[in-house]
Amino acid sequence: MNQKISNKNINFSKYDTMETEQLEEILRADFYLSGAASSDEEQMNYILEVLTKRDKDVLRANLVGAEKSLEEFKKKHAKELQHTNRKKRTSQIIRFSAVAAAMCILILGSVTANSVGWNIWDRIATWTESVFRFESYEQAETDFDHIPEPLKTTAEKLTEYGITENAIPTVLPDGCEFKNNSFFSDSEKISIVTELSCDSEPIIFQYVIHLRTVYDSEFQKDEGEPDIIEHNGILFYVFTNCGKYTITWMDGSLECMITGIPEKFIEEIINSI
Amino acid sequence: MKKNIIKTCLLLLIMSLLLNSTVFAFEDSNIYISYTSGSISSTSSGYLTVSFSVTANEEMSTLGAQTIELYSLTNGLVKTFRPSEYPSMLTKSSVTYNSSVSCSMTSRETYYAIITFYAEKQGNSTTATLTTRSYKL
Repeated sequence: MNQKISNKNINFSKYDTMETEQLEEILRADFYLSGAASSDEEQMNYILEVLTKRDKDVLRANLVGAEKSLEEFKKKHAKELQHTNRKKRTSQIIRFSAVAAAMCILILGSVTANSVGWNIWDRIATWTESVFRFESYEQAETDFDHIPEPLKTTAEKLTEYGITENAIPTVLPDGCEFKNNSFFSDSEKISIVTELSCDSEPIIFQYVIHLRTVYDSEFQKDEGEPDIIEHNGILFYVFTNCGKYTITWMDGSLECMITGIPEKFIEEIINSI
Repeated sequence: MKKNIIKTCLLLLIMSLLLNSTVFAFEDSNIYISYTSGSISSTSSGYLTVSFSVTANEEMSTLGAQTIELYSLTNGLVKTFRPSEYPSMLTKSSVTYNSSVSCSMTSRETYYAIITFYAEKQGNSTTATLTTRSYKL
C-alpha cells in the first residue's frame, strides 16, 4: 500500500520518449517477474498506455497513407481505370440484356403454355407497397378435344369441381346421343349424372365426388362374382344387372359408374379411361 | 404381451378398414334401379337428416324413396317417413334422384335407417333396400 502511494509521485514521462522495442522489453521482463516484489503495476499500466497510443497513431498514419496511395494509384492508372469502367458498363448492359431475354422467354413461354391449357401467370404471387397476396387460381383450361361430344358437358363439370384426372372414356359406341344431364351437391357429395341414348338404348354415366370419408353405396347386380379389370392402377368392376352391363370404379374420392354398355365395348371403354 | 400387440394391431386394422375404405356392395339384380346410397347426419340444432340417392338404368316415371324407417338402437323403430307426408321423397321423369328428410330426435342416442327405394316405369315398379350405418346424435 505504501509502495503504491509513493509511486504516485514518480514521474513516468521518461517512457514517452523511450523506443517501442525498449518498452516491450520492460513489459516482457515484468511478465517473467510477475508475482515478485519488483513488479510495479502502475508503471506497467503507463507503459501499456504509451504503447496503445503509439499503435493508434500508426494505424491513423497508415489510413492517411492509404488514401494518398489510392489517389496516386488513380492518377497513375487513369487509362486502365477508364477501361475498367467501360468493362463494368458493358457487363451492366449484358446483365440487362439477360434479364430482358428472360422476360421475353417468360412471355413467349406463357403464350405457349396458354396454347396447351396452362396459364403460368396465374401461379405467380403478387404484391404492392402494403399488401402481399397469392392470386387465386383459375381453373387450368383442359383440352376436351379427345372427349366424345355427348360427354363434353360432363367433362367440363368434373373439371369445374377439380377432377382433372381421366375419368371419362374417350370412345363411345356408334350412334350415342346426349339426352340429359343432372347435377347435385350437398355437404356430403357432388353428383353428376349423364344420360345418353345409343341406338335407342340408354347408357348412364354417374360420377360422385364424396366429400366425407364414410359413406355407403350399393350397386344392383345379378348373381355371380364381378369381373375385375386393372387398368392404369385402377380396379374396374364389371357385372350385370338384369343382363345389362355396369362398370364401376373408384379413383380417390371419385366414385364412377357406367351402366347399359354393350358387352363388346367394355374393354375398349375401360382402356380409353 | 405379444398376443396383446397382435390383438391391438388387428383391431386397428379392422377399425381403419371400417372407417376409411369404400364398401362396394353389390345387391340383388333389379330391373330398373342401378345404384343406391344413403347416410345419416345431424345439424347443429339437433335435427337428424337421412340423405339418399338413387340412379336408375333409364329414365323413370317415378323415382325416389318409398319409405325411410328410422331406428334407434335402444328403442327400435322410432319414425317412418312416407311420401304422403314428405313429398320430396319422390320425383317424376328422372334417371337419378337425391333427397333427404329431417326430424328432431333425442340426442345421445344411436340411430340407423332402412331406406326402401322405388322406381316406376310404364306401370311396372321395383324396389331396393339399403341400411345406413349407425349414427350417434
